[in-house]
Amino acid sequence: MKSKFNKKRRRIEPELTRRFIGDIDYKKVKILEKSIMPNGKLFSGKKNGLCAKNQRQLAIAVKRARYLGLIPYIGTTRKD
Amino acid sequence: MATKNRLYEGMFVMPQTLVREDKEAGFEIIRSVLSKYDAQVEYMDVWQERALAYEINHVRNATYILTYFNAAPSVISKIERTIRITDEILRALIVLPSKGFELSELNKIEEETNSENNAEESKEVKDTVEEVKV
Repeated sequence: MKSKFNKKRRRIEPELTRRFIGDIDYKKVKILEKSIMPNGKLFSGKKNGLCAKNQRQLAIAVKRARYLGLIPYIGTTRKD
Repeated sequence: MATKNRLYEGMFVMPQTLVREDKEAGFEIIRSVLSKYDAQVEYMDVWQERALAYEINHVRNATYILTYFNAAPSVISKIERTIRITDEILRALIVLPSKGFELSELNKIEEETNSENNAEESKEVKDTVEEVKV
């Protein structure tokens, strides 16, 4: 049986992700909301399809957006 | 030696009730804080009016004001300290704009933000995210 470690990992080139996201910024709330779990945690770089550099930028953007009350620290956004 | 001024991006969060009736009154509060430390305001406008993800000082709905200003790096910490003791400003974030940013690009940013609401583009992004997750 083929070991799971031998599986070819799907790599997304940074250029490709940049085409969709552009500069990762705390003001792009809709994109940030998609990169966090329902409990508020950030998805891994692999799941977000980002390279390490872009994932670091995303983490900073999420933390800034949380501070400004754009996205929640814990749980999903209020709907009222 | 006099320090060289830099361009900063500031996002100010104010209660919606305060700014909705008189937008200029809100702008004036921010301007008075910035002008105290010789910061030249280049751009100031309402970015969005939205519900906060969590309550801040018992306020649920807020207005986000985006500003760009030139200031000496040494006064930024002073501006932040003054903001913290200003009751009308709930939160504020002062950051350096992204690399290669120019004020003339501001209209482009607005277009981007508007197109974010565009269903097509959000669908496109969603599709790629889902593709990766599989």
